[in-house]
Amino acid sequence: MRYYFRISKDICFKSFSLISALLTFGILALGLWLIVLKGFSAVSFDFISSSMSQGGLSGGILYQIIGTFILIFTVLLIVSPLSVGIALLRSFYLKNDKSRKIFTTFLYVINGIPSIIFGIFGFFLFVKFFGWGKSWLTGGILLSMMILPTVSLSLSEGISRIPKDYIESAKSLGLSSSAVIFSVVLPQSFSSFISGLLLGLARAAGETAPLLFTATIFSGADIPGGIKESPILSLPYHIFTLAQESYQPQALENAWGSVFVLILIVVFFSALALPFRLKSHEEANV
Amino acid sequence: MAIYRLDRFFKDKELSGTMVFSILFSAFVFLFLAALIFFLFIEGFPALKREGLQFFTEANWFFRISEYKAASMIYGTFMVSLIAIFIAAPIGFGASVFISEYLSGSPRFFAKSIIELLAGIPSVVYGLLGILFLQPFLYKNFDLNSGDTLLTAGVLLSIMILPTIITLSDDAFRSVSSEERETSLSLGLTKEETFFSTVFPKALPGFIVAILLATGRALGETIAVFLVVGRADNRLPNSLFDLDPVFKAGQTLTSKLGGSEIFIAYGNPEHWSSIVALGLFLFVFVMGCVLIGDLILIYRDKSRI
Amino acid sequence: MELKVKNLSVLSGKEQIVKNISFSLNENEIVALVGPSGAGKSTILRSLNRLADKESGLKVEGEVLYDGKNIFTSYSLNELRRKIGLVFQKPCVFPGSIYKNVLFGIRHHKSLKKSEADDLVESMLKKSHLWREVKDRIYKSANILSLGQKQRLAFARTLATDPDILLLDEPTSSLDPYSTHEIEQVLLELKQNKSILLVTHLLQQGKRISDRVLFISSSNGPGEIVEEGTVSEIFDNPKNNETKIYFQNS
Ligand SMILES: Nc1ncnc2c1ncn2[C@@H]1O[C@H](COP(=O)(O)OP(=O)(O)OP(=O)(O)O)[C@@H](O)[C@H]1O
Ligand SMILES: [Mg+2]
Repeated sequence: MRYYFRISKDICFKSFSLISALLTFGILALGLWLIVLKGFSAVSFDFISSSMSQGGLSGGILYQIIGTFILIFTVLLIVSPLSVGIALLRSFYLKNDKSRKIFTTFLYVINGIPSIIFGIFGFFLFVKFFGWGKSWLTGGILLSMMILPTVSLSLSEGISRIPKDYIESAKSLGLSSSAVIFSVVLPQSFSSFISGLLLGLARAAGETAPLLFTATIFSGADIPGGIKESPILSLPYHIFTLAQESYQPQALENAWGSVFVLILIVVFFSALALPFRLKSHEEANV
Repeated sequence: MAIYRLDRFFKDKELSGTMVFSILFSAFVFLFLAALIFFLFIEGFPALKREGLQFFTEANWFFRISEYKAASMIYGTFMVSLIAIFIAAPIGFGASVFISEYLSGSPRFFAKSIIELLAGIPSVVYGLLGILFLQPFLYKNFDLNSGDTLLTAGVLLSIMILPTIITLSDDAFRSVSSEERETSLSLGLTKEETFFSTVFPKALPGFIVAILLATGRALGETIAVFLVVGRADNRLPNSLFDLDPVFKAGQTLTSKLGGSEIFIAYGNPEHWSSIVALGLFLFVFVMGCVLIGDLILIYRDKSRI
Repeated sequence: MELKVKNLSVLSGKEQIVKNISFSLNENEIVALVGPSGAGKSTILRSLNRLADKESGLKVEGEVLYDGKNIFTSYSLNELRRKIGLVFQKPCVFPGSIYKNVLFGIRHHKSLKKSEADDLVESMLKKSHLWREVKDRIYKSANILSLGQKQRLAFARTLATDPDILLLDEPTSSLDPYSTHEIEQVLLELKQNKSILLVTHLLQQGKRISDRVLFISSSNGPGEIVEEGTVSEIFDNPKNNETKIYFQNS
């Protein structure tokens, strides 16, 4: 009796977890299938190589793509040095556990801030207080701050995983601590850095909320002419605007096309991160 | 003197160029965070002072006649997140159990990579899928007046936070060593008994943190909610058990903050301060989740040693 | 009950870890499994408890009969694992008290009254020769026990599920000579109603308590049983050259 009770509990447990997993992957598969189905037919060479016209009802998304890449590139430039500095402080310089914990909490706090709050703060500080108006630079700065914890923590974990002997033997050879950093620490944690960076960039590429009031407009911009006063177009904002007009078939068609391209960009970055993640796991098991 | 005290906090006793940069960069980011928090409090506080408790208890937001009472948005935010967690927590639990306990080797790696990919899909894409598929689906099957409701937003959010729950709880379950699992199995326990007597008790803090962080994400999600929530102001239930507003269009803190009212508000100090106060609330709620989660992890790591 | 192993091979992917293992473990018998490190001793024990095929993702071929029926097809996992108990080479204790650890397995197999449970814990801890050291703190955490104490606790925990066949993977590797001696006495007692397969690196131990000895070697690739015999045969008169060298060096 007891035996059958135990076995049926076990079977229920297994079925429940299997069904949950199937449901999750089913929803995912359905979503991706819809995107590919609807998006693929909407994308053509013309669509990605011409600029928008008729308020998004026709034309393409060339400048939205360019705008998204400008933002990604800006984020790359800002985040790389900042995250290296932060990760070094956390994993290399800070001495005791307590200060490291406080520093980690500080990163978690930034990581937890809802994106729309970055948007409102950016609107207040850059758009109004500094008087930049909508600017691609503001967008880059805000997105950088948002993904900074992801990148820093990934690199920092990588640094913590470097065997102590490496660093100690480098020091014993008389290298200064800066030299140790550039010859041992950073090269040894490179894959962790890249995998964190790529995942962060994938996230930045798809963000809309922080850019709403600070960086992006729907139409009337191409390649930004100025450093700080030029607004920009971007794919997520384009989709966001078209989504609100999705009762018009042409708007919808173009929204699907843009989604398809955006997903390709995001998946490209995430997929690029995979081998680096595998590598950093291998490094962990040296 | 200042240099002398360096070694209280840092491993290096002398400043080097690299270290200066490292500290400066971190200080810069810290300053950014401090400025952001300072901004929320300074700009949001006047509204709280002016409106008092009614800001949370009354649903009365008409900026044209200078009425700023935010209860319905707070209600909306909570209901939407509650629905999301209610759906996503059990499914996420089940799916992460499947991945951590029943899969191994490359199928496991494959499943995890897919889930992480899912986590990376931009919210605006979820929003569009929500508008086009979820909204008409709920409209038809739940006999609603419109498809844009708090319920729609909650269901959409539940899908969006699933990957967060799954990856984090899988990590928590996997942090229990396979030796413990095997020892338990070798004594003749079933997988289910092994899970609940060895894995789950140890991984419980990690699982709670997963739920907390997912809640934080649900509270703060803007774009997808904005697109499907209906953005109707000032709806509140008549009693605690009145679920009617859930099936109607509503407003959340984030959908309010994401709207173009921001541009109008900036010119008017009262209005602007009320808007920032909404942001302040959102910030406090989300930080509550994040910090409690962080404390749980710190406490767990301490008691383990 | 007796255990019959016929042509057991264990593979990791295409690579064989052990091959063509055949032996039998009769009722009321202690069989020692000896051989160099890495030969595949633990792997054999883990396949008999079905951890190798179910948990490690290894492929197990061949036939193992317990009570005349194939363990891979004719038993449910829990039933089998309870009957064929395994004590790991590296002990693993669960969070919680010593008391809870002893009852960890058995309390899933049958319901125990409080008094029965207390008695069981006491007798198992006595059998594993741990009672004297821990009797004042059985409700305290098991995690602070020493390695040798943990090893005995793991032994008590498996014993508590009352298996027919005991698979012991170096059960005395962390124990002092005195405790080792005590455990050996217990094994001889247990032999009255159980069969024991004992992996050991202590040849003296094999000599002292086992009825037969299997020598496994992996010098020619996958681990194989290269010699089998009674204690006196294999220790005093090894036929196989490798066995001879191994014993001379110990
Ligand atoms: N899951 C596995 N996958 C692949 N190879 C394995 C696995 N488990 C064990 N092996 C390999 O099988 C061989 C035998 O290992 P095993 O642990 O059985 O040796 P042993 O005889 O118990 O050694 P020791 O006396 O040191 O405990 C080793 O070469 C080991 O690397
Ligand atoms: Mg072994």
